[in-house]
Amino acid sequence: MAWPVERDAVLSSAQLVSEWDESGEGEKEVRDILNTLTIDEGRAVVMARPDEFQRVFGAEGKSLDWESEPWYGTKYLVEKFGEDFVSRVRAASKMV
Amino acid sequence: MVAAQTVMSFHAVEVSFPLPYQPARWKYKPGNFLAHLIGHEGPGSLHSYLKQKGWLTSLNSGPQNLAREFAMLKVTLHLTAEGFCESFITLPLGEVWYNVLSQRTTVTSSSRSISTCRSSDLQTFPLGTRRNSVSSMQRDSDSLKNGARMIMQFGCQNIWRGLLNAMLS
Repeated sequence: MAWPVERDAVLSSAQLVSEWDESGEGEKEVRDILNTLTIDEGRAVVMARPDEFQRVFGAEGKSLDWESEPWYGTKYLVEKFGEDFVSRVRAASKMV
Repeated sequence: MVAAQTVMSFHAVEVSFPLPYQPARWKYKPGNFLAHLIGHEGPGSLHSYLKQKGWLTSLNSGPQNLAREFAMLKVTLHLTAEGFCESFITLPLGEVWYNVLSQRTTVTSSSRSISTCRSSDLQTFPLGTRRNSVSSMQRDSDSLKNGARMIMQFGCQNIWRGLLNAMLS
């Protein structure tokens, strides 16, 4: 089978969700993932027209160093989140 | 952060997190579960907050199975021009909201309502939304790659009944 399911659940497994039971297995799966939804694990892609990037970053006095990807020549840039931004996000997470 | 220039006029932010392989977690579907809550549009949701600020036009959230043993949870926010300026403020907001989810009461009560909704979806036609037949059949034929053995075990009639139910859901 393409999915690792019991034979009698082949058709229903893609549709149905089991309610969490006493074993706590379902809740643990969710919480394990929740713990990975952090700024250190994630990635963000920002998309807009070039003039919009200029409007936002230009206002901050930041110069952008665009590269071109080899297939369609789309301009892109990759950069790490600033320390200031990362610490703001971490602080926001601790507020809850 | 990756920034990409577009030709079409729109503003979008996609936030992705690596997920464990989801088919192995078919029983509780944690990826779908969290995507459902993050993408919720009711009062108190991330969508509702950003929309009230006038920053958001749409929000989509879902798990993506990218390869065997590898998946991502992707949240896509289509923003207004004003929201795009503010996007570096909205990103931490998302972070706050994900942590709200970790409060036990929300998560436990959601588990019950989601599993109830999905069961009634499958079993009661008026509550189901008709899906695209082609994709339903593709999904079912994927599950049925070992179909010949299933037919021997369950008989044709039961399989067709199951497929019909899946298509009507």
